[in-house]
Amino acid sequence: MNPILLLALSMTGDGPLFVAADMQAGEELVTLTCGTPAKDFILEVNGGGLIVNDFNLDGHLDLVTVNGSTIERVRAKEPALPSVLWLGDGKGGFRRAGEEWALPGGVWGMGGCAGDVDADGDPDLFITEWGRNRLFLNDGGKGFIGTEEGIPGGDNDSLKSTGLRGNRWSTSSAFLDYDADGHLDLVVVNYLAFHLSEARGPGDGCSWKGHDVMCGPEGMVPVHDQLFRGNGDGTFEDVSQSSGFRPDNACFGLGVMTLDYDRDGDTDIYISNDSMPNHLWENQADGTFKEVGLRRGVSHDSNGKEQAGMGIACGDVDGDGRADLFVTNFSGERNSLYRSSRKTSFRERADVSRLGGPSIQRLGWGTGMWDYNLDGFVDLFVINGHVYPAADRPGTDTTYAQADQLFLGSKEGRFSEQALSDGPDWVGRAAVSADFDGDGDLDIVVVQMDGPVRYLTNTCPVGEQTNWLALQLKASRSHPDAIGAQVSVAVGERVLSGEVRNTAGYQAGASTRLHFGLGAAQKVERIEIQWPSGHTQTILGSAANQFLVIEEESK
Amino acid sequence: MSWIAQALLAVSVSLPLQAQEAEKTILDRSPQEWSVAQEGRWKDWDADVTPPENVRPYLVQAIQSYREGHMTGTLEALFGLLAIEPDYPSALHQAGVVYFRLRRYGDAILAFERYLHVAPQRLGDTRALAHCYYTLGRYGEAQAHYEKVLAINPESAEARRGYGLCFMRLGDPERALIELRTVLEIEPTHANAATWIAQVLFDEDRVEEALEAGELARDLDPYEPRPWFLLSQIYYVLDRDEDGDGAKLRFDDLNRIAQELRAAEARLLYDPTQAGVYQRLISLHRQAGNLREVGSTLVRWLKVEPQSMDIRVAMLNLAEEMGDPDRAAALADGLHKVAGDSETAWFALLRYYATQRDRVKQIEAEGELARIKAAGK
Repeated sequence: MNPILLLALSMTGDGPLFVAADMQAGEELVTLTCGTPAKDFILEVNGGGLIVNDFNLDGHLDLVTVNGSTIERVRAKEPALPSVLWLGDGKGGFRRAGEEWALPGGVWGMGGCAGDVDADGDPDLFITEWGRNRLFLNDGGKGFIGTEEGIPGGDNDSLKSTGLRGNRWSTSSAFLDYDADGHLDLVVVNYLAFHLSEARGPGDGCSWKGHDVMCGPEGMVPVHDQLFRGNGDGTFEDVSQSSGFRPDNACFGLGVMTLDYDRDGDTDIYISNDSMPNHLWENQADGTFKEVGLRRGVSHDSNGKEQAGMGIACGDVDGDGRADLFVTNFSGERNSLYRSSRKTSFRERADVSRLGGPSIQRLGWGTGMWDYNLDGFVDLFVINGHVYPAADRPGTDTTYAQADQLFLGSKEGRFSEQALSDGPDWVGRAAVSADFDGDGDLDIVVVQMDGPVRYLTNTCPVGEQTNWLALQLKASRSHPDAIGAQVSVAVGERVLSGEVRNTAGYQAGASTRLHFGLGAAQKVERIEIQWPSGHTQTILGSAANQFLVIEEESK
Repeated sequence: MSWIAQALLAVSVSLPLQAQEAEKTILDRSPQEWSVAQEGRWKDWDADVTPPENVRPYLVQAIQSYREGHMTGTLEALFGLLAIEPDYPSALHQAGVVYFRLRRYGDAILAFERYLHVAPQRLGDTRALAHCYYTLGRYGEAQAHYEKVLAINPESAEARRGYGLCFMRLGDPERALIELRTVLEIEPTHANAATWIAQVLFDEDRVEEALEAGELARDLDPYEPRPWFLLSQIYYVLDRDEDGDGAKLRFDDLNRIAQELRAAEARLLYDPTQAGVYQRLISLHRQAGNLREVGSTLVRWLKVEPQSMDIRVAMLNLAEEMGDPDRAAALADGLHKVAGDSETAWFALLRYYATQRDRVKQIEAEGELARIKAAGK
């Protein structure tokens, strides 16, 4: 359908909320590579990554696309295809950043996140890889400085200059300040030990629903996730063991979310694992973590079965002030909505919330939990696409390319499903939300397997019933990014809540900006911020439809 | 004797080539390719009447394959049958059952819906259609179909269970509890219903009641991981951490075994002749302590290796281990009949007769062993 016609339909409320298009930067099509369409090996199925931040400090959100590679390039010992920073113009337009922002090297990029690791006032960039992960320091908004310089070429074992050890298959990551020392720490989620020489593809004895498929993750060796304590100067120390961030058995990690689930003032970590129980790492406030996933009801589905966890979204779907978790899973499984219950435990309520059934024939990846239609209720989107091209063969009850889904929230806590955007089904992966065009609603960028990156323009018209408020917090008594800050926004009788974080769940780094749909409210009565420092700050009477930068009170 | 029993006793059935395609290709075919019969073609079809001559070999082959666990072989026969007699009702129904077992729920739905179309009077046979809707998350359709099945057969515990679960999924926990409790009235040992009752109660924060139901579920099926999972969560909520840890440990153990069991069973669905997989299943059930399932697996294995003395001996040993003298005696009698020149069989019988102090048969077994030994020389 003609994109202009689509846009017109969307704006009249007759079409999907989002208009999808291939992402372009000027005349240039933004593309990513992750193996070949045949998907012979598991390394080829994760897709690339997306990281949002204002890297050049011009006030507009930029986007890094993390690129992968091909088996042939790996065999030829060629580096990953280049990851790229696309500078946003604040109106939904992008341009390729110059050479000063080049992101050289890597073997096969996956995802990443951004945060000011050296506290110099600009966001730095961390990229996860199959191979050495990479950290790029931001030079005052003028360009990236690679931290691999000075490492002997033959040494593949570590990022010695930064202390970010590892030559693994890392998928997702997030910055946080778990020990509240004012320096950003880093959690890195690792998948499995993949050695190309031993890899098995279709015809090598692995089948799914009677069809030959590539092998894995079952039968492969999972790899432990890692926690790095930041020194505040761009260097880190691996504290995975000493902090207790080490389960008895490694798992196939794919997604990560930071949240203060027990509202005790420190940041906890939730990790989705493929075909294994998900982990909830409870921060013990003494520099250590304890895994409490099963105890808190977020490790399995309500059948007591471990799921193939991929993406994670976090938000307060029921307005009780506590974070709920949504996890996307494999086809044949329900996506999971873990709703907070009582003080510190969750109940899996996907079906009751009308999110379970519609997910069973889909394989979900990127997801986000924000108020996309600005009606004052949290919505959800899910990006879908199978891992096996053989999904198109008979009897699989699913397909390779799949429709994406938008679930609109309601007062009753139940969601209603809509198509996320018009257009054909496709094979999606990571996704991230941000108001790239500055019109007050959240747009979505999505990694498409074997095709251009997709840009989904939110067409929600700001009007009498659709108001919004966006916030950027700048802490002064803790790390400036204010990760972990809790915000509540009082709108009439309702209180909307959010938490500052920089991960979008699966292989995507989010902007730390918070966004609230206000419905018909033209103003908010009160904004209350619980800063990571423990300080509570209240702002009374803010007008709707503005982007507020709030700095932590000094005293 | 029914026509099918007679047919199954006959020598191997020969089917036209069309139905003997390689096993792999049948999985690449779909019910969507089935031809449709003229409307009303099967309006007088009666499941209890001997089928037409032309379809019998296919049905025999299908039933034989199914009994041996050969799902693909069954499908081949059914595809062949439906090619010559489109919409033949019992073939459609059996195809639905096979697709359901293969977890090809969409295909099963096509088969069952077609069956219902041509044989609407057989609605009571289609409980699995509702299961398929349910498994694919089509809860509204599942609920409606369960309701129809229950109208015909209100005592069907499985249909009632599915019906109750639909209410749970659709957000009506009270009605779900009513239906699930009815399942327990129909079948008091229905562990799965007890588990779901516990789950619904737990989700509704009725934790003490959930505990009672969860403990009942655990007692009804102590080898199923899910009640232990639920109990661990319940204990934790009740601040009974020690009990929670214990239940979690047992869950972890059983769940690991259950995962492996599922994987092994999935392999058998596509090739039921893999001796190594049966051995693995037996080993896993033993790890869980579930001797009943060890026995069931041996019975299944024997169906695909009916000549195996080792399996029969294992069944005899298991019956003794389980303290079931009647079953052991029956198995010993069966083994005695087929032991022939098997040293393994006679040795096992010798040991068994010795434990039974059956001196006559013990001497017979000794004699047979001596005969076999002498013949071996």
